Amino acid sequence: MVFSSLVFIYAFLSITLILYFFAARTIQQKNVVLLIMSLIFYAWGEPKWIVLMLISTGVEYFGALLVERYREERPAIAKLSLGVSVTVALSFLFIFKYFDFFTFNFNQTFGTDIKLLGLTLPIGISFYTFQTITYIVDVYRKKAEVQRSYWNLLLYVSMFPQLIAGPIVKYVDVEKQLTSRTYNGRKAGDGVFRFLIGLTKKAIFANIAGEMATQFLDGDFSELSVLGAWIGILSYTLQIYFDFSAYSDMAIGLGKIFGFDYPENFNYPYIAKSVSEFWKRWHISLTTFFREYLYIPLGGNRRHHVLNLLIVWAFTGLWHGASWNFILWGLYYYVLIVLERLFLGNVLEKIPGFISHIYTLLTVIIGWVFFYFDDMTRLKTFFGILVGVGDHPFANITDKTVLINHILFFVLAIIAVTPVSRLIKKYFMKFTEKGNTNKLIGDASMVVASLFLLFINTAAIVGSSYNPFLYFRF
Amino acid sequence: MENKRNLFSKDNLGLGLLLLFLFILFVVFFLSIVIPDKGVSERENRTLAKFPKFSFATYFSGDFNSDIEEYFSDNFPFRDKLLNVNDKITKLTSQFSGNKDDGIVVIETGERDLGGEGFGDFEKAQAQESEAAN
Repeated sequence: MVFSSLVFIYAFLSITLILYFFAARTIQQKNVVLLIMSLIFYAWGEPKWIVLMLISTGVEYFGALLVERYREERPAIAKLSLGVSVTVALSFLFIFKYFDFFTFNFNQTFGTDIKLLGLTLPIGISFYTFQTITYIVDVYRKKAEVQRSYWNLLLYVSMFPQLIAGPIVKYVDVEKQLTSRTYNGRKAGDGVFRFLIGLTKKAIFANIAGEMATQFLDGDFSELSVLGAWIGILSYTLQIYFDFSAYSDMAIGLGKIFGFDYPENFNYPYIAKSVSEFWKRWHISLTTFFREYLYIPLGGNRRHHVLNLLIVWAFTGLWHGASWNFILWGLYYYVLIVLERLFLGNVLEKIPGFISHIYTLLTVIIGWVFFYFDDMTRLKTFFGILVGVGDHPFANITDKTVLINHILFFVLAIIAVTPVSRLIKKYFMKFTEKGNTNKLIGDASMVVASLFLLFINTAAIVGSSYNPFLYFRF
Repeated sequence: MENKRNLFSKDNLGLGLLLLFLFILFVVFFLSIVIPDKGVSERENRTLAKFPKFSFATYFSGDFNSDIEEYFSDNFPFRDKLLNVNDKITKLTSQFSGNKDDGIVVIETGERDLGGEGFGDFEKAQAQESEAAN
C-alpha cells in the first residue's frame, strides 16, 4: 500500500486516525493502535515476510538486553552480543538483497554453478535493518536507554509512516516520544498540510516527470536526439527528487499528526554548490547513518581517511540496489568527494556561485544516468548520445512538443525544487502577523489550500487508474 | 479579547484542519462503501473491477490486496467527475499526456490528414458522449 493510493488515504488512514484520536485515550492505547495498524500496513504489501521483521526486531531487542546486562561485569560478552546482533541484522539484508547478485557474479567469474535463491526483497528491509542497528549501537554507546518492552521497540521499527521508504529514524531521535509525546493542534495541522504537500509532489509532479523520463529513457535509442536525452535525464532528475522527498514529506507529516518528530531528510538538494554540499542536503538520514555508524567507527578523518571514504561510498551505492550501476554511482561520488576535499572544494568556493552551482547540477545529473540504467550497454550508449557521439540529430519535433506541452510543469517544478516556496511562505507569514484580519485571511487560506490539494490529488490518483479501451490504436 | 484570540489560535486552526481532513476522508470512505458498484465504465468502455474473492493463496501472494486496491479505485465515489478534473489538470501540466499512454504522440494539429476528424475532434466527441451519459 503506497501513501499515494486511494485505499491508503481514504480507507487505511481514516480508520487509523479515528481509532487513534477517538477510540484510544491513553498513550499506551494509542501505541497499541499505531502498532496494530502498522503491522496491518506492512502485511498488506508483504504478508509473508512480516515474520522477518518481527524476528529481526527480536534479535536486536535481546541483543540490547544482553549488552545492558553485561556491560559492566563482562564487557566482552556485551561486545560479542552487539557484534552478533548487528551481524544477524545485516545477514538478513544480505541474503535477501545481495546474495543473488554476488553469487551470480561469482559464478560468472569462476565458472561455478551455485544456485541463486530468487527471493523477492521484503518491503522496507533496507530501512528497518538500519533502524534496528542504530538502536543496539546507541545502547552500546550509552546514548540510548535499553528498551525493556519488545512492543515499544517493534513500534519504533514498524511505524507505518517511515517503515517502507524512510527517513531512517535513529532510535535516539524518537526514544522519548515512544512513551510520552506532546500533542497540539498546531502540530497536527502542520502535519496534515505537510502530508498534502508530499502527496502533491508524488501524485502530480513526480508522475508527470516520470512519464517524460520513461518516454525518453526507455525508448529506442536510435531515435533519440541529443536534446531528447537531456530532457529525459533532466525529467528523471526531477522525478527522483519529487518522488523521494515526497515520501519523506508524507512520512514527516504523518509523524506529526501522531505526535512524532522525525528528522528532515531533504533540504533543497538541487541548490547545492558542491557535491559535498549536495550530500548534506540529499537523503540526509542515510548520510547521517553512514557517517555515525560506519565512517566514524572506521576512523573517520583521523585514520586512513581516503580508504574510509571509499568504503562508505561503495556501501552507499550498494545500499541503493544490488547492481553494478549503483556501485558505479557510489564510486563516482567517492571520486568527486575526494577531489573536492583535495583541492576542488577550495576552487568551488572561490569561483562565482553560479558556476559552482552549474558544476554541481551537471555532476548530479550525470550521476543519475548511472543510477537509472542498470543495463551497461544502454548506459554507455546513453552517455554517448548526451555528448553527441554517433548519428543522433540535435533535436527532433517530439522534443519541441514535449517541452512546449510541459512549460507550466517546468515552471512549477523549478519553483518547487528551489527555496522560492519557502520565501513565499515567509512573506505570507509576515503578512498574517499584521493584525487580526490578515491573520484570519492567512488561516483561511491554509485550510482552503489544504482542501484544494486533497481534491486535485484525489483527482490525479483516480486519473492514474483511467484505463480507456484503446480502439483507435488499431 | 483574549478568548477571541484563542478561538483563532494556531492550535485551534490546526485541530480544525485535522478534524476537517478526517471528516472528509471518512465521509468519502463511507460513501465508497454504501454507493452500489457501477459494474461498467461507459466512459472507458470496460468492466470495472469487482470485489475479489478471498483465498489464502491469493492473500499470501499479495494478489488479493492489490485486487482490493484496484476495486477501490475503480469504484471510487464520483470517479467520472474526478476523471474530468484530472483531464483539466493534465491539460494544464502536460497537454497531450492522455494520448502518450497510448504510445501515440500528437505532433501538431494538421500534420496528419485524418479527413477533417483529428484527435481533437475525436476527444470532443468523446467528451460530449460522456456528458450525455451523465
